[in-house]
Amino acid sequence: MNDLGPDLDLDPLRDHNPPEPDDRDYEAVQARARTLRTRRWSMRGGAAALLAIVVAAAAVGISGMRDEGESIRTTRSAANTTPTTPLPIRPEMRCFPHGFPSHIPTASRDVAVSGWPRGLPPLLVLEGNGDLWVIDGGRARAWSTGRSGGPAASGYLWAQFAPDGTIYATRLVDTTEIDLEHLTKPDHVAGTQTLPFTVKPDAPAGYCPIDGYLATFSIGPEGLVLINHQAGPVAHHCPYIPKTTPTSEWTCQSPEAVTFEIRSTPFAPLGTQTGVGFGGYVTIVGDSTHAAAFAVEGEGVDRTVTVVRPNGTPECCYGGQKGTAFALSPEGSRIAFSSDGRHLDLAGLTRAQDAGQTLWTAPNRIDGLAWSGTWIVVAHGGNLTLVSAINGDAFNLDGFAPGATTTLDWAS
Amino acid sequence: MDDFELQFPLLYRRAYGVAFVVVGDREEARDIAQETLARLHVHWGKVAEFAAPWTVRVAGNLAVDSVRRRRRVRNVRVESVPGPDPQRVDLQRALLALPRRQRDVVILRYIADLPEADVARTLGCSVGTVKTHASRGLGALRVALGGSR
Repeated sequence: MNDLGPDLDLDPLRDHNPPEPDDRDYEAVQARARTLRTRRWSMRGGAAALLAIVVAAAAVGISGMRDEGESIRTTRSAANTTPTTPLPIRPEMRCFPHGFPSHIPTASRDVAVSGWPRGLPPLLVLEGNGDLWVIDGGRARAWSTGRSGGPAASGYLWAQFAPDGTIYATRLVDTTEIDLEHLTKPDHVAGTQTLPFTVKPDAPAGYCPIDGYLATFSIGPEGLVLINHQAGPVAHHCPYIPKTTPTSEWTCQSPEAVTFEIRSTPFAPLGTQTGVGFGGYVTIVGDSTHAAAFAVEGEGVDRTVTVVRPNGTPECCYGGQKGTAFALSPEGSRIAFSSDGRHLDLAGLTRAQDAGQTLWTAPNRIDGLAWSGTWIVVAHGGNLTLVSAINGDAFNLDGFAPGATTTLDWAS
Repeated sequence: MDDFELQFPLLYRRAYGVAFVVVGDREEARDIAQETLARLHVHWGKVAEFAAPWTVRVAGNLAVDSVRRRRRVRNVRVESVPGPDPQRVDLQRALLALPRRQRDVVILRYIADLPEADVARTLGCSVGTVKTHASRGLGALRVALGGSR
């Protein structure tokens, strides 16, 4: 017994006559292990197929992105064939983790940023109000664009650099569809594609009712990874349930589910389902050159991250860490995260539950992270700070205060 | 008999012991121990070398998750059932309130009785970091458990 001090003793809480494990326990464990393996492969069993997709995508090359046609608008049926009606999506439906940005462009569209080290790649900053910025060479320039004749009031929901340095970004259009826009320079949309969704009117209350695409995505060597959401109830494989475990209506079904879809180029009309799926709400919060994607559930400090490594084996998945912000290292072997909103921690991904070590402590709440080379950019309390991933040295970036930040992403 | 089968009784007891301290219910602790050992079996090839600390850590986290779930449905609890030990309730409350890493350290160090060096190895950090988190976690435990006296 550890010495907890005279006033603290956990001994009374222990079972001093514990039951000895017997054959029934061993058999129950074996049965659960079999179920776990089956479930893992049924949910993530597409990993092998995905590997083939990744290899094929790499062969085709992501360079084809910029050659895709201008202003392509393809619409295809949403992933779920459940009959749905074209209801507008509303903020309280909780399908977009960052809400409905109002997109109120700031007056200044080009500001100097001091403290920007030489040699850093461009940094994408998407503000909570949907305004999109790129910091490059000590200047921050607004890339946001309104839409002529369209809902200029809709800001961007999510944005990522493509390998060629252009940007793809999603916005909500008339609360009935998501547009994926291709921005090749500030205030210039070279192409648009609709990511359709419908709203299932009888979806379980309190859960996202979208059948179709969500707004977050990642772009990596494998192409564009999109999220297909399915409104519940969604029946799934039911694991072994001991008699002593209380069951609920969601024991063998989920109130919502998602699968991942890969398009070899962002404007390819159709993607390929990866076979990787989750039984709850998931959104991508980061990626790396190794095509790992973050999926999170929950809100605030209860956001739980899972690293989906499409080109790895399912057993390699890292999961369960909670926090306010997450970023993968460029090569995809480590994760930066803030478990409490103040500390920036680094952990390896080779073990399922590596808790990591603290690298830096922010003076206020961390709500965004991105990692490039040896630098991690941290959005905290409306400020940006560069933190060395090697020794934790920190440099504040002055002159540009993005406010609440939705997305940070370094160019390749 | 393979390695897992050989170590099964010992690891099961450790998982059960940690789970019971947290949940205070034999059936529930047994259920958690079974789930922990099942997960261990699935990951055995990767975690066999540090199976004991891995087991207590997973069992502890499953137990905390179980308490968290139970809190959500407590409004349907039958009132005639005797309530849990107040000290255990305080411990549960303290564990739920701890940041994940402090909670891991508390479970490994003070509930599973692992030496600091083993805790550090398990969590992939230095002994100094373990001491820091242990100190903070222990402080929270003192407030929670000491305050109940």
